Amino acid sequence: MRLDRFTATVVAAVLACGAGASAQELVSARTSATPEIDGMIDAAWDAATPTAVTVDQHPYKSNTYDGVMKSTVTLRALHDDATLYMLIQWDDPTQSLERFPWVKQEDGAWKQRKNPDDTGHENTFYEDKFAVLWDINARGFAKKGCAAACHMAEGGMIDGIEAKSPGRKFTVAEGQTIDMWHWKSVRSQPVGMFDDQYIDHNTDAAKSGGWGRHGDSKTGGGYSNNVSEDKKTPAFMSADGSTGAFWLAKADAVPFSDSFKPGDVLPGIVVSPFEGSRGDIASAAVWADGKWTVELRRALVTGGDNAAAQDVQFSDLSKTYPFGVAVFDNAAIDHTYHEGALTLKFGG
Amino acid sequence: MRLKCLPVGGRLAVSLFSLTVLYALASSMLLIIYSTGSTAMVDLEAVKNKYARNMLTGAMWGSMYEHVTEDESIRIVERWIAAGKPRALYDAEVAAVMKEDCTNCHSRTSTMSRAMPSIPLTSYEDVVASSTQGLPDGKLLKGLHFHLFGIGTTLVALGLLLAFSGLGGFWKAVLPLAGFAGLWLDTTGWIVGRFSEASAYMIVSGGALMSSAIGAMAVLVLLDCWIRVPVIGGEDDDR
Repeated sequence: MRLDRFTATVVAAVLACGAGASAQELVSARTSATPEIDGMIDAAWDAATPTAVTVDQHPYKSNTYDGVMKSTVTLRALHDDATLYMLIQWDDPTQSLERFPWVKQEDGAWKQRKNPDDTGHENTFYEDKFAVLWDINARGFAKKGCAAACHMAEGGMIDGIEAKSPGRKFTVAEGQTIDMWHWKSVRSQPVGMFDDQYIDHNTDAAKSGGWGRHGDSKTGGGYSNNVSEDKKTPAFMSADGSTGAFWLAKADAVPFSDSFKPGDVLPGIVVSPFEGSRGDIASAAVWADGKWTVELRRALVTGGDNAAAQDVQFSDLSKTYPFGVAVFDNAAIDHTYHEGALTLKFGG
Repeated sequence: MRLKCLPVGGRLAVSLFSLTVLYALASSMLLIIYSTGSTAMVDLEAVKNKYARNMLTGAMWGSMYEHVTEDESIRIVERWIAAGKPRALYDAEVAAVMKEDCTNCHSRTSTMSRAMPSIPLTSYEDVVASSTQGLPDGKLLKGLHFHLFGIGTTLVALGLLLAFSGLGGFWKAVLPLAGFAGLWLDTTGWIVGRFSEASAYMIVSGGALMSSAIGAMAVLVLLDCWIRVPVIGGEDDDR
């Protein structure tokens, strides 16, 4: 063995670097310079030390997915007395915004563009997304990260319940929750927000089609599918009759009236800012040169309905906070993630 | 007849063979580290977990540890094994541990990046089959015949080449002997691992002896093709 100690040392060092990915730490720097949330990296971020995370795991291989199999996520964090700011960048060679658009056909009918994979999920006409999951009190999250809430079907069943999805998110016991900051390039970014969600222990699809995944409490706003009651046309269109956009601001929406020509495209989604806890996270994003840059801002401690169960509370800046991240490249549920938990620590 | 007397093509072939052996040796080191989940070159606990303990709990303490929610989960499985793997205790406690920490990947239908459909842990029968003491029969026999045939043949080839080197006669005898002794010690340790944790010492010492001998022979043969290897361990009769 001594003969090849050099080889062994090199190999061990390489493996040690790889193994370290599961215990990576993001340190938030205290700042007095407030970064502007505009998707641009201003001077305030100079104080933040970046942490790079490789994401290369997938829950399944879709027959229609041709997105990233591996990406590097770079995270930076700043905070002041009341607010956490994060700058998130990840490699994604394509900007995907074309989420279920309506297209007028030659025969005058309207058709929503879709190409579901063999599990019924979309990877062609969708949007880019990013998720940050924060442990609130979920068993196993601090060590296993997002895997603590990930449940794969065995023979099409999870816990004796039919599950067509390759995986479902829920915690293992009542009262255990995970905060989920879900950035959506079409459904939430146009209104300058993350979709603030959470995960609980629910496995009853009748209560929630997303099983344990839920939106935080809201008092208004949000997004809805732009589909008429008979599902044959859009329900709304832009007041000025413009075409080609992939989302429609609710404030600008008027009932659909068909004076369009074949090939015209109308949005598949109507968006408006979340009101209430679901809109806790402000954001801005820019895609350029094969990379998304997203900035976010959230109160260290949130209020509102059910905040304790739905939101991670950064109330003790001497603690470390486990979290995990995932990249969704134009995919409804397929995502590229890392194993283990990352931790956020607050610097002085 | 000496290696150096071979035409360039012959020496090149012997050299490439030696380099290939060294390449294989380096990859086997990497495999040991990777499969035991330890970054230490000689980690006795990792070796025990892999070869000389219960395969299931050995993996949970070793290479799979990062996927286990808490140590108590492993102890639950250990208590079940110690109790003779009763079905009732599996249903009551072990199945929940498997579901929480193992079956996302260890199922016949897993689609995850690290899916291990060949080692399912989704039923009582699966878990019993994967909780053998030491290497399971199939893995043991597969590993034994690969190692004995493969490494045995390599040792013969290196020993013969070494016999035609300018090295002293002592090392021409000792190095092949050490290689075979290490091979036997290592592989016999795998079998003994079915009964005793002490086999880890056999595996580590056998592996070290075998690897050292193979590496030394490959390097010496390679050098002797092109330069004059210093005479140690006795004069070479043909010098």
